[in-house]
Amino acid sequence: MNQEYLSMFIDETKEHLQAWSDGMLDIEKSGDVTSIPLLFRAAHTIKGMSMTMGFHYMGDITHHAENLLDGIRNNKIQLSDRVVEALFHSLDALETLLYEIEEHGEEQTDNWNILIQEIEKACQAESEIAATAATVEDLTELDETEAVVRNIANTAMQQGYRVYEFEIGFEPGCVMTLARWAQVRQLLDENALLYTDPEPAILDGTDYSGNIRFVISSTRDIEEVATEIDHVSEVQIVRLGEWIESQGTTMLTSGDVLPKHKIETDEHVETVIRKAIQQSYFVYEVGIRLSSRSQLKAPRMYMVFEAIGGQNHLLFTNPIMDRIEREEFEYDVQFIMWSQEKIDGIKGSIDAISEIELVELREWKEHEDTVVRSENKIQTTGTGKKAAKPDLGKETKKVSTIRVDTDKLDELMNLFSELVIDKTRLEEIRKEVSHEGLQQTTDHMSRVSNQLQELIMSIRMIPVESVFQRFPRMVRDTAKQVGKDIEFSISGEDTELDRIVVEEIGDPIMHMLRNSIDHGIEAADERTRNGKSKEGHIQLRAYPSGSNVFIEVEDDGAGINREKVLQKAIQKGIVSPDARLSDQQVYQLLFASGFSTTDAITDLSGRGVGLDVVKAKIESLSGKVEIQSQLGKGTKFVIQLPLSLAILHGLLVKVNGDPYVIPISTIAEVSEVTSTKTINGQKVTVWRDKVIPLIDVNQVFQGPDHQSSKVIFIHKGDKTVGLIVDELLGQQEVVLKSLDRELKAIPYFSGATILGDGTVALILDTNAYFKD
Amino acid sequence: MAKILIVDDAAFMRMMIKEMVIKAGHEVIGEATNGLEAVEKYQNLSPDLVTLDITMPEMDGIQALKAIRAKNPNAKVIMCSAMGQQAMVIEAIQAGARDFVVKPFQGDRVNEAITKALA
Repeated sequence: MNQEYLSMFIDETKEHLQAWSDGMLDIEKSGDVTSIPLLFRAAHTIKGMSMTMGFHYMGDITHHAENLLDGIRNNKIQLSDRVVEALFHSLDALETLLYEIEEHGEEQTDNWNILIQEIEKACQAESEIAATAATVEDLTELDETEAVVRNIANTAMQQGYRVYEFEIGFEPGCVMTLARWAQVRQLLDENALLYTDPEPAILDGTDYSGNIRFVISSTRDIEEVATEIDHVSEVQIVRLGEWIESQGTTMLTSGDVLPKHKIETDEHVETVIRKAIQQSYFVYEVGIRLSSRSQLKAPRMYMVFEAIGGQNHLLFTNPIMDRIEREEFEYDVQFIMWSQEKIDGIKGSIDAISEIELVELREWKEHEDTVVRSENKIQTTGTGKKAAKPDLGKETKKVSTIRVDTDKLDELMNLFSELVIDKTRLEEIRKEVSHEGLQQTTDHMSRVSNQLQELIMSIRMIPVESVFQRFPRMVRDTAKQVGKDIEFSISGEDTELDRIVVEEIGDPIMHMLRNSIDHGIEAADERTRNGKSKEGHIQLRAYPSGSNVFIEVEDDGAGINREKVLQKAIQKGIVSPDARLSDQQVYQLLFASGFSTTDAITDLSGRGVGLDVVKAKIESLSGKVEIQSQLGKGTKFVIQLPLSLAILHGLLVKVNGDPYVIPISTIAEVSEVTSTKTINGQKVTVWRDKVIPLIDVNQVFQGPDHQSSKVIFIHKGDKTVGLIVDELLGQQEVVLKSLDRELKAIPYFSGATILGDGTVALILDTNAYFKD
Repeated sequence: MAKILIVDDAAFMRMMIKEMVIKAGHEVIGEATNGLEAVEKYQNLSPDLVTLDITMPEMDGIQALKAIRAKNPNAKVIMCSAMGQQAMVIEAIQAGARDFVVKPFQGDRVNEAITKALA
């Protein structure tokens, strides 16, 4: 199967599974069934898509789930716990299968019988499906049937109708035979259907796929009716005939006028046919059935031959002309003719003659050396073909989105990064060489590359919603598992982050949520004892700040017991007993590998695997994680992530002779500060009527003491600090390169970059300069 | 070549049908993702033929079919159905759908239906 389809299938199925999941949570929470039609639609679409892709397990499971949803929708099935569980399990199964498809390109788990049985059991309230196939009637009954039909036919004929009998079958593989039957019925005049075998009750049921025999009354020609029926897809006419009055009894005539294959002719005739075709004449095979009421058959046929242009147009007749003239034939005559007229025209001419019951025409076409007739019988006139010219003047609306392989985006970003380095280099050269044209070009290039960068960034940014939305379900399940009542809320899900970050951030957040559910939120009785509400609250929020995005997981649980953590750390030999640690340092111990404070190890967390992995993961994304906690009140995990991983606008500064980059997005103002004060050992200044602490970057890096008045005011949320630097070098775009493991441990830097002249500059992580 | 409007809420399905239709030499003049949109686009684009999914948000295929047929009693509409929707398909046929195809689609079945509906 086409790869393009596969990724599209996966994406869309994910969306629908998400809708399903969200809907289920709503239903469980509020018992609100208004979203059932939505779920039904989701299931339905998944079914259609997975069947098309050949993923039969998915198709089968959704098919069953869909039945269940349909039952609920139509009030046939009660929304019981069992039903809800079955739907949740179906959802899980589909997610598993989709995962397998995504990873391996195929469904791997194949044992879904238990699940299907579960769904079916939940479905059982639904009424049993009515009778399936018709049973074989015995012969005496069949004779009776024949008599019944004869009577019906007789009555209709007495009322002036013609009565036709058809037997139709369905092509193998036809899945909706009864819908095809509905199509047939749609073609018939109202009340025309006199008799069906099997009886109508079965045909109005849900399943029948054998042949259907039916008798209709009509004022139209049998040929017309037959053509229409033949036109219905997947339907074949097995047998047809007209009931006619014959010597007092009503009997059935049968058969097409033209043989199934071409009319048997001889070699001589075929040669003539070929010649006619070569001379660009049309050659038609015609079958005529005269009406049984026809009194003078020979003159009738004469009229037919006249209508087609005269007897000299005939190439062959069956029976031969002599016998036609002597009326030595029943009702049927076949002939082959040539003409310059189109088939429709010939048909029209013959149709104008009365007492003709059936006309069939087929065109002969030359095919290599032999002459064959064309595949299709043409039986109708005036197909009304319309030249469907494209309307060029018309505005066509273009598709508004396209899906792009993410690898291509990464590649684009990489190439662009390279371009930015070159651009920076060019700007350096421009400073050295004085050339007006070069200056203009580089200026323009900077502007364009800025726009280009914004564009690429925006393409790469996606809302965190796509990861956040899976958490309600996970929190629900986990809370249920540990028997806690938890109210979970999400905010800021529209915050955008680099696609890569969004993809990777799911697991760490999940770990933290689990941690909060398992360790953070206390058991219900303990909560009531401490005067808290019975249900615990966990909030997941995201918000942007400067060039960072913050994601917080906050609970109103027990908080972290500093002493307990410290003791455990000492016990494990992670810290020495006489170490003096700040709260933050103590909390960071939780991220140490192999660390767990809970007394009981649960399934979920507490095995000491988890928070260290969280930290490693976030750091690999150039992010940071921090814990804030108040004993008895709750805990907050704060993840800080860079908005983008690749390129940032920075202010190049010099501190103690080395270049550093400060992200522009965090800078509030750059100024010369002359009046400073020292309060509690902290250097401060007044800036915009506020007292702002000043941090000498040089001192932070433990450089030599010296004086500078250049201050860069940076902000984080509503907090501001001023950074004292030695020199301002200018604004620049830099390509962020992440630091390796050892350097990452230093809190003040978020990465490094290569400048235009090849020197390396560290990028300041301004968030590190704020003290809580 | 006929001008065709494809209606399905799943982009995947639209793409499948589109490919089949284009291969058969027709022109896709529009796509709609729900019944309301389908009715609107039918009026604006006057396609020769519509492929109409049954289960869709906003307005389902049957309602859309009825709305389209009310505007143009000769509108040619082919229903796209999934297995197990026979009752809906029957309703659609009674409401004037020319033909229907069942998912998973096969190219030749779709083309046959289109050719017949256009005839």
